[in-house]
Amino acid sequence: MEVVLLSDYSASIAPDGQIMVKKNPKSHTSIDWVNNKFCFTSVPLYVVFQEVERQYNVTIQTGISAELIYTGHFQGQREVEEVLELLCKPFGLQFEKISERKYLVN
Amino acid sequence: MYRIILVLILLSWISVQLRGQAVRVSAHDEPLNKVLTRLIQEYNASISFNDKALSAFQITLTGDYGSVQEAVARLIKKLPLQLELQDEVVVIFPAAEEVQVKRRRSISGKVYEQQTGEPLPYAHVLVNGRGLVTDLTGHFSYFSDTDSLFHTQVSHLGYYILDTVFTGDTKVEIPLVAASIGLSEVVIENRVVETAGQYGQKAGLIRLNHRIAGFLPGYGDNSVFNLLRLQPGILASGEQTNELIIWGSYEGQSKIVFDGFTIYGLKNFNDNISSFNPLMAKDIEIFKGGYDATRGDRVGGIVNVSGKMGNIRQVSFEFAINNMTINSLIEIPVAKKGSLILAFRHTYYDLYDPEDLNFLVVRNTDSDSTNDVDLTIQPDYKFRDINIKYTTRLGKNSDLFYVSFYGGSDKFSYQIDETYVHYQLLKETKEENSQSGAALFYGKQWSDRARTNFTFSYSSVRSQFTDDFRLIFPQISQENQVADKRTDNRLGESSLKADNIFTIGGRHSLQTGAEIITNKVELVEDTFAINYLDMQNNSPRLNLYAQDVISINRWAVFTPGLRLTLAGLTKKVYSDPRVSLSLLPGKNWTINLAWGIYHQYIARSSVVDSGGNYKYLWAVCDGVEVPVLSARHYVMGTSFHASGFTVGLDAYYKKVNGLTRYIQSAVYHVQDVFTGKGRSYGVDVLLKHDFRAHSFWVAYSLSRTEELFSYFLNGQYRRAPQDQTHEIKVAGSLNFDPFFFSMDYVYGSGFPDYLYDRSPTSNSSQLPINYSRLDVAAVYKFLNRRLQGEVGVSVLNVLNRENFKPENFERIPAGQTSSINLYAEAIPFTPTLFLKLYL
Repeated sequence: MEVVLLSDYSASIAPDGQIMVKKNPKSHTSIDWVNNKFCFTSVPLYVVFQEVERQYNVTIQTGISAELIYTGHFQGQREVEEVLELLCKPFGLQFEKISERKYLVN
Repeated sequence: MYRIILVLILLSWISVQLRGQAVRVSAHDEPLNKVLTRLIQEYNASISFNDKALSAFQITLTGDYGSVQEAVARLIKKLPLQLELQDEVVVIFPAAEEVQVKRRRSISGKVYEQQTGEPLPYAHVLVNGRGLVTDLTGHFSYFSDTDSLFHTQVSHLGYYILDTVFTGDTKVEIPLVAASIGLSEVVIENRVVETAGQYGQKAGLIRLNHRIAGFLPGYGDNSVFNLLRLQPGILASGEQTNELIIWGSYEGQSKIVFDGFTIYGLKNFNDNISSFNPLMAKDIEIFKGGYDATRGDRVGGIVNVSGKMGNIRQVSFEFAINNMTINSLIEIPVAKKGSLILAFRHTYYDLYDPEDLNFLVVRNTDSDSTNDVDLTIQPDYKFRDINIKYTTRLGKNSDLFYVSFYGGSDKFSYQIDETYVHYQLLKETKEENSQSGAALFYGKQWSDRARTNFTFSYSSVRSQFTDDFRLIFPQISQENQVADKRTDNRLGESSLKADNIFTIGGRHSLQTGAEIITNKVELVEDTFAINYLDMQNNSPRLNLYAQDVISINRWAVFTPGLRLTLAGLTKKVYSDPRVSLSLLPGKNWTINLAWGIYHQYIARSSVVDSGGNYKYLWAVCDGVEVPVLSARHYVMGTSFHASGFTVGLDAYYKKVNGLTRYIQSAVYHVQDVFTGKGRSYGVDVLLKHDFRAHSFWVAYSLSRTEELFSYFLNGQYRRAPQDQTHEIKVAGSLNFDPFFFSMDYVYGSGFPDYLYDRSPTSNSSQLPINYSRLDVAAVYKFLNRRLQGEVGVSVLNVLNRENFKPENFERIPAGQTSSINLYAEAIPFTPTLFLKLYL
């Protein structure tokens, strides 16, 4: 599969191998971690998890569908598990700490 | 000061005003996710929600609310959603009970081999702790009222285990990577190769991966039989190649099904050529006994071999040569979804130095050596077979369709012309077998929950036997024609059947089926040019079966089933109820129980002559001369897997009624058919250890098979001719990729021997020889970019043990007092080189 990316589009490869192309929304494009702001608008959930992995230096094991789309906004310093709870609950997902810095979401 | 107060009042008023009508919602037929996103943007609201799910709800609402929480509560009112305030964030999630009512979720998919696209039948799929098995086309489906996510673990023998999570209502394609072929280039870390699924999934079931066979000794021909003989419960001693003897079953009571049609044994005097091409084999299931209602027509065991579907990506070619056969297979992709396979095997003995080969040697082991004669016979053996198969996927569901043909023939003959002190012995024996089989299969997926497999199959076997045996006494110029026999026996089978599988909820899987089947048997026998047998019979039948696989809970599966057969010949309905229970008391521990009644409508009757020689002929069970065979199986098994160790235990008790034996005894002037019954019981124990890529196993069978025929004058059970008390099999393969070493060893304690006699105290005698054979092999794989393949050496019977093969044993009366025991030797010390190429 080939995709052509225009300037305000982004592409990502989903766990199932599909290439997802998204137009970047005008505002709230990503998160503002520095100010402890967490803001995603219509972003695939696995991308959000990737950001959480990066930010909290944890590994999240999951095989969720690329079609789960998330929107959320909140502020403040939070523990990774609080964030995971906020992310999982809307999707009816469960997370589980399987080892130090490793979580399983399903 | 006044000003400051004024400003403060003003500010507080504004803030009160702001709080009072803090959140304004104004939406007209707008998706809920957009409305909420606007709340985030305009009021900096803290909300967390499933964007896509909420976009399904259209909202029309205008109003002012005291807080974001209030606004959201109003927005999701009457929707199947709930909210919760969590650390000041409004989290919107699906209302629990509403989701259940809303719909039940499913997952369905297909498991296939990554390299070739071959679907993987009978792969084990564990969805949220519940075990499923893929069907012939590699499909599986699962439904749940409660689960929205499916943690799925897929395993198939000899493939890397795949562990993943799917969301509900998805169709998935799951590729598995094979563990042994060409893996020098593929590195998979931290993945486990499935080996545990081999034993203990069901009572009396063994599953084998054909890939393992390639590394075991035996002409590099990948012979499936070489692998089968090393399994517990399958008789290896005596090197039965004609027919499998499983758990004491008699000849003809067990069958081998390949691609849907029955394959019969070929005359094969050493067991290096199995009756179908091992390159065609993909997945092997051995149902030793106690199997379910979907299978029938035999009272013994069933071996089910699924053939390759063919490479749909590129042309591939396999070529194998050894000093006995050449074997080649080509797979050609046809259109996008189809593949054509052609496979051909041929023996060529001409490459042998005839002086090196003494296949039949007299080994008279009587203590009395006065009559011992040494005979060296050069038999002639030719074998060839061909497979043609076309497979394709039809329609949007990729329904599997295939046509598979098989044709094979072998000729076995030997001549003796020996002069002794008083006479000259002339014997010419010829046996010619030919068989053919064909199947047409169409698997139709009606929906996620319903599937029907239509199969039309045909198979036929014909064996012709001639024996001309003369003794010439030159001193008195007399010629004694001892035997002049011609036998022509044909068996045909045609069947049309439909097998349905319905998944009803997560707990039930209903399987039903109907089959119209007929067997045709022809038997002509001439002795001394006089026709004394001419039989021709048809046995049309209608089979119906139904069974429900009930998952009682996560650790218990109960399968009640019933199989009904209306036999046209006897005009009776035979009912075969079958029940099995599988328990999983622990993660790695299974217990299986099974019970069932089995009927068989064609019989391979034994023919015994005065010398105690056995010959087997196919006959239709007409209920008059040859009764319908019936059996009862009781099977109990358990298996335990932990960190590479497998311990398996199977115990069985089987009763068979309706055995027939034809006795021809010139000494007693008896020529009659006798009926009898049999019983067998025993235990199989298996210990297997997989360590890195190495594998070792020990199988021990303790068994007893007894029979009682109406001609036994004392009315007591005695050991059946195929009875073997102890059998031990040891096998091991070492994988130092690209070098592979393997060995196997089989020990059997010996067969009984009975001559037909009329004395009521007919006692047992043991054939003198017990059985033991050690084989070793070494294989080197080369994985060049352009050429891949393997070369190897295999040595059968390293210790050159003189083994006895009852199948080829013949006692020839040579005079009034003396007889010659002709032992067709089982495999002698046989070193072989072989080469295999893949393109």
